[in-house]
Amino acid sequence: MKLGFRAKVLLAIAATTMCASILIGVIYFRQSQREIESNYMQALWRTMSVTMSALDENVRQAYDTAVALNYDETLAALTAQYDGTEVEQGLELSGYLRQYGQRVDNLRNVYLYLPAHAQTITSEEYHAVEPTAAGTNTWLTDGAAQGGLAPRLVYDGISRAPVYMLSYCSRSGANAPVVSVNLDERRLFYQYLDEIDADGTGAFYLVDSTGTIVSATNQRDIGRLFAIVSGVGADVLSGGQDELAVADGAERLVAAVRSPLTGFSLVSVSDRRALTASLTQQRNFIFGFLFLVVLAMLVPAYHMAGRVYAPVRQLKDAMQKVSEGDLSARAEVHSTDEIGQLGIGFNEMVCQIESLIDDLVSEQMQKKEAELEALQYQITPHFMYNTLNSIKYAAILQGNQAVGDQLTAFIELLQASIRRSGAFITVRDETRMVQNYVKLQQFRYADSFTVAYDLSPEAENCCVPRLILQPLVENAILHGQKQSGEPCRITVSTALVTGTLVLSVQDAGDGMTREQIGLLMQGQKAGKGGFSGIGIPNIIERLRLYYGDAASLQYTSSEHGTKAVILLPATTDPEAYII
Amino acid sequence: MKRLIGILLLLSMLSGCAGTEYGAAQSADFTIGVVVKGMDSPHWLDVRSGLSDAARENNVNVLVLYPAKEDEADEQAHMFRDLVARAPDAILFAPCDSENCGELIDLAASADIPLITIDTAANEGNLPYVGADNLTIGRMAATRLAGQAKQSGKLAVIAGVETQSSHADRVEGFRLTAEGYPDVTVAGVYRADSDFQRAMDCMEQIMREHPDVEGVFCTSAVMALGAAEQLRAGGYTNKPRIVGVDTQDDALAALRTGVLDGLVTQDGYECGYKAVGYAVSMLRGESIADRVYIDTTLQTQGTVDELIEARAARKGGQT
Repeated sequence: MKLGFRAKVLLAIAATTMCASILIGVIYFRQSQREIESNYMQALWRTMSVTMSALDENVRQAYDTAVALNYDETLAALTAQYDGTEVEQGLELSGYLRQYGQRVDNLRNVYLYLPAHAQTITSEEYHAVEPTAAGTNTWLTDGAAQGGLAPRLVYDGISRAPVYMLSYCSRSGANAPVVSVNLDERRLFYQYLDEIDADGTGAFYLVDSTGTIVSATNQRDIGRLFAIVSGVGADVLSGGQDELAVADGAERLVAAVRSPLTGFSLVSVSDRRALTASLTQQRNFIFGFLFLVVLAMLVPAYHMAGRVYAPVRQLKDAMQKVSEGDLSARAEVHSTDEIGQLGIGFNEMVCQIESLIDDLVSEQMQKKEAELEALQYQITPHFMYNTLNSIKYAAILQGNQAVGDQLTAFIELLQASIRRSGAFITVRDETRMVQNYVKLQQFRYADSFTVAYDLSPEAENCCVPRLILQPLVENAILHGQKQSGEPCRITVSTALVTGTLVLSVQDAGDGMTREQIGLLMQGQKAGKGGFSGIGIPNIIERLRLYYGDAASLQYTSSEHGTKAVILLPATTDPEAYII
Repeated sequence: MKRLIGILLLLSMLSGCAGTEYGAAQSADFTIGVVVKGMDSPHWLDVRSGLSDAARENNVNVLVLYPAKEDEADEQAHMFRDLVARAPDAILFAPCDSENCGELIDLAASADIPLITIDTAANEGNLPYVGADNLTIGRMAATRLAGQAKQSGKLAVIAGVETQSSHADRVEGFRLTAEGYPDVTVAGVYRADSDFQRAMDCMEQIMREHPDVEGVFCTSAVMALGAAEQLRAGGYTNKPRIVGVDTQDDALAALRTGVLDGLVTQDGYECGYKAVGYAVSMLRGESIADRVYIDTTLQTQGTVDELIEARAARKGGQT
């Protein structure tokens, strides 16, 4: 696609603006995105830290209570007393446990497992005493064996409604009573995890030191292993039976706060895109708006481009005029910038060309003039005229009329040929010269040819270059002889045909071959023989010089004769075609 | 043209740098476990405050455990064992029972965990100690009370748990110094186990047995306040002077109003703060002394205002 200069400028402006804006927009968007994420994560982390501290305190209450119960003398006494059957004593134990448990928030219950009686005393009012066979609810004895600062996640099978609990079991010997202080996982979740993120853009997990999920929004996730799978761009949430893997990186932000007491981690997983959703919307809006603004800006840009382009266009126009031949064309120059300098240079160049051509033309003209001058007679006409006149009168006095006539013709011819020094003479004068010349030649070549004249009166006043017809007649006389020896008939005619002057010389000789015509037309321009020494080539050249393509000399020939025709524009003004 | 594309690519790469950490669990240099005697008095709250401030400044995690009461040695031992199982980098220990903590010391040693006693020394193991010089405390109290006992010259002591070396040392220091005053006798040492109520009972007993007692030294502020309360409520004609130990706001207020005659201050905050610094220095391999004593001074009604203001400026009046 061909683009004009102006269009190119416009395109460049539009493209540059768009590129710069898009680049800025993209970079700024990323910066803002990162800023938002950073702020969000920091705020989230602070909130999570606070939440974790509170959770820690809650768990510590359970731990302290478990340890205190373990060494509580009253409990030890009550337990020793209890034989496994006395309902009252069982209830008393239950009440004691309940009272102790009141100091723990989000408590589910306190269990006192008595392996000796295969029973568990609970702190609950309605299920105070639960039969517990050995081998069931092994988490009680396992927990007792382990102890430790961190609670264990257990799935309770003792109470009627099974739930998840975080449990501290007091350490004890084999077959000894086990005290278990149990926190309600769901209540912990609702009090701590659920409260953190009001926006709902994140998911929260409480993960223990082995990587097992201890509490989560979706209860089905509890008990599974939490693994972070790193991978830029991957968004895998694989849910095998036992594993919950979350991809880190491009799609999600993961943060974690760890508790020194329990070794638990509070983990948050946020969706990156949701965070910056509104920012993305803004970005898209800005890009759309940007596009429209750039389109709108094309209008002033168009005008600006036009103003820049104007001097270029002027220069182009001037150049075009010059190439068409008008050397007077100049470019307008209004500024001094590079375009202005181009214009100035161009103008100077055209000036120089103009003057060079002027010089050349006048040089050529001078040469032509010189050539023409050279064709003039060398001898002063006055001397010849006088001499010949005295010879003529002498001949007439001696009674030789023929010689007198010849001399008269000759003198007239000479007068005519030298009297006007101008380049152009009338057809009348030219034909007069031809007639005198013919008279002389007929005297010389007696009866070898005859000449007929067909002269149009309208053509008489037309102006023609001097000695334009005479050489043709001379040629016809010299070359128009018939081999048979019969006199050659020559016809000279002039006619005026619609502004064109037709001069023709026709002979009835044997004709010339094409090569002979060619030789004739290309021969010497000026020779030593003949009347004027002007050859056919000279005629051709003069016609070209004066008239350009408007005049011509043509030879046609057959075995019946040869005809020479000169065509030239008819004018009665002798100055018309003067160079 | 190629250069232009190259530059654009470079810019977009720079802007696309991802994968920064967002304040994920800032990892502490060390985790230090602390097992103290209790948390039911302002003194221990000060200690905990000092511990956490020092922890923050040194970028360490501090895990504080304590039994419900200062005399619950079994519970403390239980917690000590759980803590060792957690394998912290060091343990700061204020034993409830200074005499019988050999087993716990061995447990820590076998787990390769450095053990440092704070506030209360252990009687065995030759462990590093950060806290008050308790003998000096006793001496200061004795000097104060003995110097003012002009009539009967009888002094009494209400002491904390006997097996805790801090209290034992204070009593010992008091006794030794009192012996240097020929007109002064120590009528008796009564055990209140650092309990307010029991201190009241002890005071009542003292007034009954020795109504002309001129000075009572209580080895902790809680007991001093308990004794003072008994004096107030009991309506006695002879009110002995009471000197206590520990810097806590209620005791300072009592000193200011003259309820207490004197207070040997040991700054719980300073104790906790220096203890963490000591542990961190030890873990970093720096050279440290065996014992670091915190300042102890005898404050009287005349000097207490200054101390109160200094404390307020430091902590904003918090206990």
